[in-house]
Amino acid sequence: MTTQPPIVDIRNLTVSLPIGGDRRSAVEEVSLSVSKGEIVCVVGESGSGKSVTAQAIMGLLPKTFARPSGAIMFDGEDILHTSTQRLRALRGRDIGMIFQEPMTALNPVHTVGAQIDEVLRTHLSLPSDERFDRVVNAMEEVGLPDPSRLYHTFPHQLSGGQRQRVLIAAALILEPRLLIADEPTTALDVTTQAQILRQIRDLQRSRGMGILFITHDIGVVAEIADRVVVMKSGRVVESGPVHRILTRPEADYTRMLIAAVPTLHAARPEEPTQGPLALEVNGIAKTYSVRSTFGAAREVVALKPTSLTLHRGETIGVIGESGSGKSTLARCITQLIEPTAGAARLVGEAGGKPFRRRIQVVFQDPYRSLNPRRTVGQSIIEGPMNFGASKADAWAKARELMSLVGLEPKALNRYPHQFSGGQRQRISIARALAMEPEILVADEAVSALDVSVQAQVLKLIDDVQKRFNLAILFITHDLRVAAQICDRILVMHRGQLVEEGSVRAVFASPSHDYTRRLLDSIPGRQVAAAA
Amino acid sequence: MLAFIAKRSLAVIPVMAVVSIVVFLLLRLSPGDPALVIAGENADAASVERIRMALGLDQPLVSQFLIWIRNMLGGDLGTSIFSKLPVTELIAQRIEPTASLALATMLFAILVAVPLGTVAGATAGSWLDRTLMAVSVIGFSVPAFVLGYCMIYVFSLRLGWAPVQGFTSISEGILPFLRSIALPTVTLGLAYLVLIARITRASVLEMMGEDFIRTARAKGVSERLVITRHALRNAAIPILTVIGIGVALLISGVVVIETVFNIPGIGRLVVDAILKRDYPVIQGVILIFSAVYVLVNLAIDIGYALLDPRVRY
Amino acid sequence: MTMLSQPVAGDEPRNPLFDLAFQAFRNPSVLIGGTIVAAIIIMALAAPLLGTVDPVRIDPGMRLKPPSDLAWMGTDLFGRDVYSRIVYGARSSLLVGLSVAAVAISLGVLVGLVAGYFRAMDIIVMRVMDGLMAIPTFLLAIALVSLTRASIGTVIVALTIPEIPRVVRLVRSVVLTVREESYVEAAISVGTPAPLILVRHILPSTIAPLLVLGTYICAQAILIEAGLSFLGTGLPPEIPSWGNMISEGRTFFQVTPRLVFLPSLFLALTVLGINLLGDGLRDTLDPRIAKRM
Repeated sequence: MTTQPPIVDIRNLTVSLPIGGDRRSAVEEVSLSVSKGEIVCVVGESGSGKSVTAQAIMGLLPKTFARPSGAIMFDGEDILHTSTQRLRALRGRDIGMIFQEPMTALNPVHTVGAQIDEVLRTHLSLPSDERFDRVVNAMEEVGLPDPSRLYHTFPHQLSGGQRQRVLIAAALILEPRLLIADEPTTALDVTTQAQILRQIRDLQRSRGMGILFITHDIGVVAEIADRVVVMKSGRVVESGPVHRILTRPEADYTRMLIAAVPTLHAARPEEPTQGPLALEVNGIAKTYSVRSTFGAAREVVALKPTSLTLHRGETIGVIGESGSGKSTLARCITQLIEPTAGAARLVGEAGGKPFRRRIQVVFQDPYRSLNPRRTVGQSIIEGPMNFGASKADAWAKARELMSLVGLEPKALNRYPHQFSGGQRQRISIARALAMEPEILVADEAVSALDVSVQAQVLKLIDDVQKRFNLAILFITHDLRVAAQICDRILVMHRGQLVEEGSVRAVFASPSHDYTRRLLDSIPGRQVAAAA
Repeated sequence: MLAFIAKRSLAVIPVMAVVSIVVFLLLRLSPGDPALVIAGENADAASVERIRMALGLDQPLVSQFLIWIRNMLGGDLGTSIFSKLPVTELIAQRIEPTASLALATMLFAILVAVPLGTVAGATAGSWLDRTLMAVSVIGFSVPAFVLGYCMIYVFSLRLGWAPVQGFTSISEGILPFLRSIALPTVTLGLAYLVLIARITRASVLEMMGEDFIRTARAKGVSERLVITRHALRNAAIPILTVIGIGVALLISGVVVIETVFNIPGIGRLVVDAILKRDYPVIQGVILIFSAVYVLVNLAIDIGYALLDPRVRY
Repeated sequence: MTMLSQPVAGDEPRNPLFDLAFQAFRNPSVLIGGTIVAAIIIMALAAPLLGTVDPVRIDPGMRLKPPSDLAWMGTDLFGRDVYSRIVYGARSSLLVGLSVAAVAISLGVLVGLVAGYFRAMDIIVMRVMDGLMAIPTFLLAIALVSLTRASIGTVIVALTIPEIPRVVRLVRSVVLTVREESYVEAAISVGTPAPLILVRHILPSTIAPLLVLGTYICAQAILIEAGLSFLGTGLPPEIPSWGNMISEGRTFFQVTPRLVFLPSLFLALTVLGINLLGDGLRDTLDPRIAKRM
């Protein structure tokens, strides 16, 4: 496979960080290469230096970085030490690049056609009708429907997947020899991701170009890579053919990374020991009316009438992609928004406990769910003190909870920015537990975390559930995560509950078409199933 | 698009309603009694009462307001207490110098500020950027009338390049006209220019950090086009917004600058009216100026839709 | 769960506000601007100790004297000591600037918080604010001052009213942004009542942008007060103020430009100092504030 001469050959690349940071360099002594016709995946968690490496090839590093050292040979030419003019001539023509955020990577004020056309205008001099034809062809090739109409649309009128296709069309229109893809599917829903990955793979096969594919997701690696380079803290940990890396990893870090990927095996027994009923949701629904100046108000259905029951000691996963209504469901149940119809009822002896003490939420974004201006201790004691706890009692409780979630009680007087993402999520859990709730709603609570941290937080949630006999409603887009922690799952699609059942049952024989598609789209699921 | 324009135009109505209520109340509720002012200090009680009735000041506030609004909508802004001329006519007489000055200032400020701000934003941190920003803070801090006197001192008194004061109509030749408004334009324009340049710099700088700039660079687009076609084009909305808001600055400036350079425009008219407490003139001018401000900003709102497809909905 | 993990950064509690304040004091604009402002404030407070004479004493024998040992910035049209008038004039300018900023911000915060958090109030309040903003600040101020009796109080009121909408808009936009933060939802879900959420979780986010806006309002108010006095519709002529001095000086501008330029210099320097302070604070505290204002 590597008999071909490399298209790009990175030798001892080092990119120093500005002085004063906690690390000396973003990338240190990195060497890797991509040959014609192969896809090389660079995989690593946040801070591994994988994106910096990709940007260095294009000469697109932010100005704050010092000049990198080492060499980047592109077809035998050192492009790390070449002129800006030369590099600019290569970009778009010989090296194409696509990015993580299709939502922001397109200029919002130009039509998508014009933005693909810009590559042609920059590098060739062709008459405009010829350029138009080539753009339409390129759009057709990446599977965009009705390209001559779509040419004149603006980015905000397209879906995330369509935008990413537009970016791929722009990157590939001049048939570059190398494509750099920097987490191109991370921001997309899993079904869209599967389509885009297939598209990239097909185009690569038909054109024989080399691809450097940056990702954090071992599943994606399994799906698309020929060779893999594992990076950690700016260094290459190990590299090799994809099969060898996934089945016989040599470095501990690689082993950990692969082990941390949640598998599709249901972790919990088929017949859970069920506690008493805790929550009963009856036909809850949410409709927004969008008022326009003229004409009637337009109704947008965010959540169709949905019912569910949740018992103590049980975890129900609510699975869905963006726009499925899963978060709306969570927010209606927790009374953060007012449902249009139906109601959620907390069942069982309350002993006069008010609603907010009985049901608690852990939010998705660990960087935004704690008030940056208050110490974490103040955040934890806020709830109990709202309901009349004395300050001394609340603090004592907070100290206890800190060690319960695995943090030093001394750290209670620190501010959120002094903690890592995973630690903050532990603090959020402590804050919820301080209310001594019966029900915990976790709204994408582990989605923003690296896989290794994700595994730890999932374990913590599992532990506290056993300890306090909690009923948990676990909202997630990730079936693999749901398999780890849930007893039952509900699958939501376009505001509607489409499937419900035990994890095993749903995974083994999905009854709804959408569930099947969702399961088929999980990246690297053969690997996950085999593991 | 049409629905968008209609919607924005309708939004003008409540704003102008608030403006007229404030302007009306401002003068009617202030302690000075217009009837007393008109009658003069030595008038007897009966003649003051007669004038009050003639002005309709004896009626309840609400009906006074309604009469006033009805007249205004009919294009009647009232009659000056002193010159006895209709306010509309007084304004019409004075509009040319003020309009010339305001338009010249806008042109001057925008044409200088946008390029300067763009270059500063695209090269943020460079010596050019730092110099421009330093000069801009100073430009922001010198009151227009002080700057005006400095200009007169240097260019008129010392160098003799411009007339000290006064206004020459464009009908008397383009060169004398330009000579007469050059100093007032620069004086009035400086603060406006600085305002626009600072926003242009900030917006272009912000846009330069956006993902689509990286995409454009990855396509091999030249840096000049990256800055103009991508960064500046997307920065257009905040720039337009500040041009609109800055019209208020321009209006305030006109009032002072016309006094400094002794230009017989609407600004002078209103200052004289205020000193003499000529209520109808004050009300009329404030109303006209506010309407100009609101209409300019309406035009700018509609301009957004042309510049940014996301605004059209 | 035997090993308890330590916070990743720092052994001591680090309040992000202190960090910011520390950064702000290292910003050159803040340093230069702050020094100028501090100097002017000291000058205003210590006016009687700075070798001044009575700034309003008229001495017909001393009219329009050039600078000398007796009056080292010369005397004005009425024989008053220009230096003393400038030093005392700082009091008027600062009093007007600081009062306007303080009052406008207090009222604006109140209205802005309510408008931003309680949707029902929002439409009405914002329409009124739009209307107020449409009336040219300067004209509204002169009209207000000239129609009532001129005094420092009326000038402050007249300058405050047009500034309130700017504060309201800023506060409202911060509230609208912050109320979408998950930490506000988290506070709601632990049962914190709405007034406490406003005060505890939302109000603190307005401090930094309001500090910056406050400096701009203060500078603006000083400039407008000078402009009003310049047109003869500002502070009563017996109060020594830089605007009044420039206004009186302009009659003899061609003969003694000093009488215009000296107070102008102090006026510009003061405003420059405040603006520098504001720019520096903006750059360190809240770089995105420009979009909100």
